[in-house]
Amino acid sequence: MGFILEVNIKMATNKNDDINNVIADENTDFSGVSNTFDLYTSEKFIDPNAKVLSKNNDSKRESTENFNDLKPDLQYKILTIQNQVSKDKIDKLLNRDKSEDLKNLKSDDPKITESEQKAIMKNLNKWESTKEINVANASVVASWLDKFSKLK
Amino acid sequence: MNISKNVVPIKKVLPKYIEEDKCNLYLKGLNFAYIDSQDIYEKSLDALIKGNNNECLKIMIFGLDMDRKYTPLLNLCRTMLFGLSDLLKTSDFETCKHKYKNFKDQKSSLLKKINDLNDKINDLDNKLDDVREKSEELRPTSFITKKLFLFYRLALRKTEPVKQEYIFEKNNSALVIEKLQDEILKLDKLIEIEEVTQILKLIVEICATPIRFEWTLSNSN
Repeated sequence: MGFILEVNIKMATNKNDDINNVIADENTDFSGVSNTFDLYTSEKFIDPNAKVLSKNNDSKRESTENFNDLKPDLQYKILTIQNQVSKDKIDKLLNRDKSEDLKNLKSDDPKITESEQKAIMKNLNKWESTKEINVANASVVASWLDKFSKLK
Repeated sequence: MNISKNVVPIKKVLPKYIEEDKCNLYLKGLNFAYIDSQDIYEKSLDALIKGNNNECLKIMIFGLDMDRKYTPLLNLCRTMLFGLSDLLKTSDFETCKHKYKNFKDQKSSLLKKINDLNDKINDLDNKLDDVREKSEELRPTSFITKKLFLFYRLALRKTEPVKQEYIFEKNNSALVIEKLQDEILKLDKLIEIEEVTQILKLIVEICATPIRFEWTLSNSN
């Protein structure tokens, strides 16, 4: 099944991680990452592009939450979707009725306590990114729902 | 990777709530290089744009297990769930749910009906062949007189309504099969919607209140 390349890319979970050094240094053994992947998937990490990517210093970047920092082709796809999907649907997703959150989750677990309910609500409200990313998410989801909801 | 004490990996919880086969769809087979959380988010978003639900969820679970604080991915997950919940309220999903009770059982029952109808069609085909053969046996050979040919024509006329009835029944069964197949397609979609909603709910609950799922860590190696 193709050839196996060592993964030379590291996940930057923190914005302060020095991702550039990680990518540039080809000799570093990032077995931690590949181990994590293998454990996660129980399959060997195989990626023909990994080596190429590791050599490519242009891929250095930090995780941001700006629409303009997304890959250009993805930006283009999202903008195209935004032109196709009705604005009302996007607005509805952006301005959800927060009082419905718990009903929507409606855990099957009857033991859920009031404090846990409050924690859920509190955390859900924290999951806001920048406005443009929120809009991008809402647009893509609205378009996905349009297609996904077609029963035939 | 260090997992903070408060982070309960989704990959550990999922197998406790979902059948193994289904679970593997969302946990195994990832094959991509990634740079950071943003990269994973972009891949998840791209999969969703392509309508590849499983891939999107698979990448999302992976991404959230790696970085539970990356809000664009959390926001995407929440938006998907609540969008889907709204859709389920407005579409005929609830009606279908009420009508079918259990989608999977209903699908099995429809598949059984289709099998029965296919058997019926085969049976009708055999009967039609029999009638045709019997008529052919009466066909006069070249040296037989015109009188016998008349008997043959009469016999043909007699069997014609029987043949027509069989053909009518066969066509009817084929139409019913077509309808049932449409219904199965609809059910497949509903099963998929139900499954995606269930996974999204679990992801959201695990990310929002990990403490409720900590027991899964003590039970696993």
